[in-house]
Amino acid sequence: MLEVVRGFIAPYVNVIFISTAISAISLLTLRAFNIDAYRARTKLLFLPLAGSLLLALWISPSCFAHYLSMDVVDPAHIICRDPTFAYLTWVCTSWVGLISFSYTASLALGAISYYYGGAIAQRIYSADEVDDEELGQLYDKIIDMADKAGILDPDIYLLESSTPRTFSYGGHGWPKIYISVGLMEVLDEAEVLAAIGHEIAHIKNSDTFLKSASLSLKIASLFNIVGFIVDSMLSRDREFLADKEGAELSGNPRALISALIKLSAIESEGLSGLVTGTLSLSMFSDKMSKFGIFSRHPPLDERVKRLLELA
Amino acid sequence: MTSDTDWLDFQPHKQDLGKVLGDLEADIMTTIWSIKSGDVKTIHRELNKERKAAVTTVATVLDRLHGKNLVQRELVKGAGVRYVYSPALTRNQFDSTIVRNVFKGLFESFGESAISYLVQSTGIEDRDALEELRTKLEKIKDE
Repeated sequence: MLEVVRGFIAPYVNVIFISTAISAISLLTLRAFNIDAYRARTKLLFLPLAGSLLLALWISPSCFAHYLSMDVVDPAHIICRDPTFAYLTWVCTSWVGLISFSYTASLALGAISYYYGGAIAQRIYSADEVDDEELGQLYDKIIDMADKAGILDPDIYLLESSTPRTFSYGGHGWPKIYISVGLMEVLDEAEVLAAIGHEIAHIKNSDTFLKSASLSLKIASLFNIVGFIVDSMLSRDREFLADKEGAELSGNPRALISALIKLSAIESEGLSGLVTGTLSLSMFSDKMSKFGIFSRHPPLDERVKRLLELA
Repeated sequence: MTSDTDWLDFQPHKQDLGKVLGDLEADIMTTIWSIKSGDVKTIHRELNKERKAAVTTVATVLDRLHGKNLVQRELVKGAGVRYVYSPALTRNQFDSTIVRNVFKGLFESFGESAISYLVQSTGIEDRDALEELRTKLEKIKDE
């Protein structure tokens, strides 16, 4: 009996060890990869996450095979008459349950993050759509940058807050940019445009989709810790890419540098900060940056260094 | 929903406005009371005559003060947008709100001791005056 039980517990242990090993090897490979090749690296970054997912899929058929081998699905028979068989069924049921739950949750959260992230942020900050009446020339300059990036004219929402922040949602066909009143109070016009250029670059690079997909895979891979590290690496890479392309859109890398420095002084702000840090593509989310490998935004000095190379 | 006195977290060992507000919050409130109204940059400029603080931090703290109903703000549009901040309470209203609420809290929780300390510290010995004081205090407690 022990042999059979061990045979069925093994997949649990295997999935954790093997997926961590695959992820760790991929991670080491990624470190050797040219750090400026953000786009190529994005594709590779999904490998370890997808590896975990495949492993989970590989385990499931053995459980289904076990179900198929049962002659009668009779709870009384399973529990009382044959304890070995009952235990195996319990293991399989919990495994299939775990997989179904994590896949459903991952898909649901990914979809919510992709389609409703903007609406959630709008509700939290009671944001209203604004146009050239409120923003004057700034509005026209934002639209010019969007044209240059090849995306549709973005809907611009004003967040009722003096805390300077900006973030974006959506794809090429439905771009949404959120800016707080504080962004315009604290930054000068060139800095505001540079910060918004960074957000337009995120939309151009379909980062809302990438981020939602990465979130889905992270959950589906059963919260494998390497999955978290890789997800954070992906996020940092996309920030570097948005910095680079945003600076090209606004044509002013130095303004983006000074905007980043000013925004880095924001105090962390409980739930609101956490939600926007998780669901959206915010310009600067300081909340997690203390934790290094789990940080979703790159360190300020590294961002400034790379932008100075463009200036 | 925040009530009008949610900001009132009285810390007796701290100095001056620090008893009820954070250091920077207190300095920003003092600045707003002195200049009556102004935008973030004006408040930051005035504040920096007394102490150093990043404009970003000032903006964030102003948000917090607005959340506590201590300042009010008006959105000014055109060529970008900005808020103009002004105090929601005068300094006198602010002080009397603190005194009223702190005394009320003391009488509710430590009635006898609070009254006896108050009587001792004022040095009143006349029985009628004491009775009158007691009636007034009871009235405050019942409010």
